[in-house]
Amino acid sequence: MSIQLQRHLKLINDKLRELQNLSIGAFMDAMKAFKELNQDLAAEVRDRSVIIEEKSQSIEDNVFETIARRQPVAKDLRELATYLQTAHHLYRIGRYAYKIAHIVRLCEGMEHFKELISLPHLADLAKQTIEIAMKGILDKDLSKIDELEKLEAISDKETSDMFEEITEYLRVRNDITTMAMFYVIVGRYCERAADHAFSIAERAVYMVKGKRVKLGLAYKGQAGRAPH
Amino acid sequence: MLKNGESESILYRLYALSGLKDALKSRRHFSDYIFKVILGLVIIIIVSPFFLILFQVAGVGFWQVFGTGPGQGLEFLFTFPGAGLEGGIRNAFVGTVELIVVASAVGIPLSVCGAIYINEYTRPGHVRGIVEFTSDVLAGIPSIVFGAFGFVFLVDFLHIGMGIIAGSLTLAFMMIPTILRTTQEALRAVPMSLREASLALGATKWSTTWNVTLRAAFPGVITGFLLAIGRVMGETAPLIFTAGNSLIVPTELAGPGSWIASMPYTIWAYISDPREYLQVKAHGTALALMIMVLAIDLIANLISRKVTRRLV
Amino acid sequence: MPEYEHNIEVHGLSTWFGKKHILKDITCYFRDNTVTAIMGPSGCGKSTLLRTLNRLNDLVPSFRRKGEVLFKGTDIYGVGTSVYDLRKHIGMVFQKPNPFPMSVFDNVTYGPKLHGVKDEDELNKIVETSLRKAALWDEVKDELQSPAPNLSGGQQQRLCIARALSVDPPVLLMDEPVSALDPISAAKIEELIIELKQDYTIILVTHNVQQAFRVSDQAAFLYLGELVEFDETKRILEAPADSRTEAFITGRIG
Repeated sequence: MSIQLQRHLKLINDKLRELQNLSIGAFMDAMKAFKELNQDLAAEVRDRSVIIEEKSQSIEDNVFETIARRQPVAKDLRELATYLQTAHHLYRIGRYAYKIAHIVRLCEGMEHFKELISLPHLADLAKQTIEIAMKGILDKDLSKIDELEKLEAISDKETSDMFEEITEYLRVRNDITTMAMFYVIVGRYCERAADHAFSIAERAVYMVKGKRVKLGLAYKGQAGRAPH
Repeated sequence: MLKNGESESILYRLYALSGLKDALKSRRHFSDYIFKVILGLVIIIIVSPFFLILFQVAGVGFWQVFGTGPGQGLEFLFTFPGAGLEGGIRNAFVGTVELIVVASAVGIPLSVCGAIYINEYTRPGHVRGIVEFTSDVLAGIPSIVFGAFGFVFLVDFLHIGMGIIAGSLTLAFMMIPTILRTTQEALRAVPMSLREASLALGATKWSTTWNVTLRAAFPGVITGFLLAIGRVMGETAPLIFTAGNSLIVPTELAGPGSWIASMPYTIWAYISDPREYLQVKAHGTALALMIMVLAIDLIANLISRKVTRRLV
Repeated sequence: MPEYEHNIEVHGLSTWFGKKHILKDITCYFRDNTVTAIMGPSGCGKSTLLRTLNRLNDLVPSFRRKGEVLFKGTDIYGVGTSVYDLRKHIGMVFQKPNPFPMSVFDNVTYGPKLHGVKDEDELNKIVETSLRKAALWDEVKDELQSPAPNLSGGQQQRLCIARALSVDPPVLLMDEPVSALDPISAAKIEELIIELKQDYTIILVTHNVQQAFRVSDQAAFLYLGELVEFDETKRILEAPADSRTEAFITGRIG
């Protein structure tokens, strides 16, 4: 294989690793800021979104350059295309971090009405999912992919439970409506992040094996009443 | 070194131009110079016989061929010698032409077909090797041997008798090895892909050979043929015992009426004769013959140069 | 309703040159009106396979063959088939442009004349049609009598294509048709090949993987005489089934 092509791919791989750290970091910090209603942290997270956008664009530029210069095929082509899509998914996850941080700003002056358990759990699940998926992408290691199905099921259940819980609260009280809505929205972002992670994982399988698969079907039955 | 105000003298310029100035710079320069000088001398030695012959022949025979007086110029070529050999050399001139024509008519088809067969229809192997070897040997056999063979085989054994037939056939035998080899080389130079292209269109082997290969090799074949003629035109030895001699042109194909003169033979005969005017005629004939051969070689040269452009 | 499915099919073909086993049990079908690229590292037998299809290998005395090559359902090596007739139906373009040392006009009429076309009008028509199909007409239409070797390399190759098309063969074989040309002429001819497939079935040998991807609908990968993979080009360039194919097209072998 051409050394040049190897270099190009390695460069993009490294950048993707950085983007992964940036996105996950921003997302987790945004969740932390929400949990603590920490305005400074939230502001800092919002600033980071610029860097994340730049990074993902730079990856995109690198991919185009590689395609034009090296004309890769088969495995190399799949790898390159996968990097491009993964960068986009990670960028979206970074955007959710921004949006969550924005919600924190909107929460200025407000307080939580309950202890947050589901949301941090959901965030953590999302993080795990992303990490497993990215391991498949960056190291071509598909060994943990099966766990994703389990994580999805847990995540589904958690969202479902949280939805019911909030509905219960709203039935009883009417002064926490705004906050409750924010919980639902933030929960949504967590679920979306996990969804993106799933897509990344599916791409990883395609990249390595050349076949397109749909993940997450095994536990679909237990989705429950979660609205997604 | 030129000092200010000093102009170059002619001697100095010559000294510089001749290369001596550079030659004396170092030992390497000097030996290089000496070598160039030696090579130059060698060239002069090689080329001089041509000019010496030309001057000798033209010196005596020039006016015979190019003059406008009685018995000179075209009259010289187109008048029969007549009594006392005081006329022209029409017998020899026409004789040479006729001999060449008949020899070619026999020799060319045989050689070309032979070359085609060897190159296109046989595989490289023993048969081909033997034929090529025999050809090469024949091409180098002295012309007198051909003459002797012609006499013994054609004149005597086959009872053809001396004359135009025996003479031309002997010349043909001399031409065949040369033309065969040059034709074969010309055919070999035609790239295989040309034949394949023709075959790929559905042509038969013969069609391919005739329409494509031979056409592509044509200039080379012509050149070979012309060079063979140029050589054979000037041969005396093969004709001494096979062509007889005549003061007129042949009137029949066999018997004494078929005896034929030729220019080289005439030169030989006239030079050996003590009469002064025959010396002049001999030189004239020699000059005419040289011009004819030169012309043929020039044409061959022209054709072969056009080849490289057409086959590119 | 034709009894055969494809114009050209190969069944269990193995070939030898003397003791050397070149092609090993090849079976494949070349779909009509498509471009099939045969690719592989040098020496793998691609040209041999191509030349077996129009019996050009018959010229080599040590050539032996087992298996069948079917043209329109009939084995071209069968008893009683005419090689000269066959080659009218399967044309060939070679790697180095090889125009005959005649005029452009004579080059294109060489084939038709061989097969009996004598009428002058018809010959003129064939010349124009063939040269148009080869995208050469506009460049030479005023100089049809000029010697073909005077054309540029790219023009000469297009002339060779026109010449091959002059007898209207349903199948056209091309042995690395552009590898001896400059990139611009090569690109023009690649575009031409894609155009031509509407009317002809084209089988193309190439050692240039990118060219195979640019030009072909199907691709065959030949490695050490074996047909390793034969599939739609789209599939092969995205995810080849055999690891040897993948190694070759990504440049790790050959």
